[in-house]
Amino acid sequence: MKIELKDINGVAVVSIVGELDALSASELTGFFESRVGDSYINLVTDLEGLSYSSSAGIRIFLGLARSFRQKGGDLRIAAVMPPVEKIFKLSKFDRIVKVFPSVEDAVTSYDE
Amino acid sequence: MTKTKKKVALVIGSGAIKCAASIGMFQVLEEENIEVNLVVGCSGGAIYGVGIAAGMPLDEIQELSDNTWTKDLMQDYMVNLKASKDGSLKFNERSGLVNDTYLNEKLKNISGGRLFSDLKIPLVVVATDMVDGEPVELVEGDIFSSVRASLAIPMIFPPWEVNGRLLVDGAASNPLPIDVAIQNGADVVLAMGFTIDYRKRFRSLTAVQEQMTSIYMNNIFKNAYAFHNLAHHSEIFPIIPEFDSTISMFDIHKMPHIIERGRGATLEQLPHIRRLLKD
Repeated sequence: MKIELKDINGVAVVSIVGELDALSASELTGFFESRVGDSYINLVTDLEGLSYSSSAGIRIFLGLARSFRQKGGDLRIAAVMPPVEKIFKLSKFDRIVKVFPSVEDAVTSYDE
Repeated sequence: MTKTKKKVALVIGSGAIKCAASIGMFQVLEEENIEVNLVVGCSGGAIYGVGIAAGMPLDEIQELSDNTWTKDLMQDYMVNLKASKDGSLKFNERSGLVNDTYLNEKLKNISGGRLFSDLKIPLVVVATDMVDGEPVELVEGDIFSSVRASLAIPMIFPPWEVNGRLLVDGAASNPLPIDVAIQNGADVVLAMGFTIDYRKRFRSLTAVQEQMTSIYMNNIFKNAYAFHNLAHHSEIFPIIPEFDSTISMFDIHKMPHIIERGRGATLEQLPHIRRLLKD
């Protein structure tokens, strides 16, 4: 799994490429703890390169949404691919977080 | 079979004939030497759960399945429906529109007089208590009674009494009982579930009622999945076969397609299942 952090207009944009499951989950949580931490209020995850997310992956995203909301911000999700979208819909995760077609849409949504 | 440290549970949700897709799923698991430690079945899924837990050859399960989903299951339905409308059939909590003689005979064939204690893999069958609406887990006694109760589609098949409780279709309370697998200590849950296709035309009261029931059922399914997904400590692999067209209860001719889609949906998840079990 490849994870990268960009700062776009003060929003942490984290792109995740590869597959996310119970085994790779700790790598992702470790990245958020060490690289994102408390430096940002608002987060966008760019999932254009994420081809698979398991139930453990959904739990990580939910944990991120909770922690960013607790500090007054939010998690917004961008560019979800069909296999991941399917699991988001099945687990009703798309009812909990806002999902946008592109990173740009997700980042600018914080201005509204 | 390869032993893994992780406890693997197979959950087969409600879906009538579509549950035959579990034959395709289990084919893949057998080919991959993936050991299943627990089987949970609900409604139609209970039928296939019994076959798998009993260690029946898959072609035998398919044959029994082909012989079960026939229109004979609906014995006396139209006559009783008419009688219920004109008031000559008095309905109570033990009634159903179908004469269940044929259904019982078929389920006795599948159960083969087995008890839960005869099964090679532990099995839990899920039904619903008609009086208090609670899900009921059946784990002992005779298999026939449990499967019969789990399959008692409300108003169609008469409820079935087990241990003094009047039970109906497990789908009414827990169409994809992942929680049962979690509660029984499963780490890896392979959950095969089915949503109900919606109607496009509504030309009768029954059609509208059926559509509303489908909406309720699909939302119970998704809400329960969402909750179980968040509650579990390890992985739940959703194995949700997609079909080319609507599958109705007696589409036996579509059986090869159903099984093939079950196999396909399992193969999609297989690399991830393998990866987790190797760890």
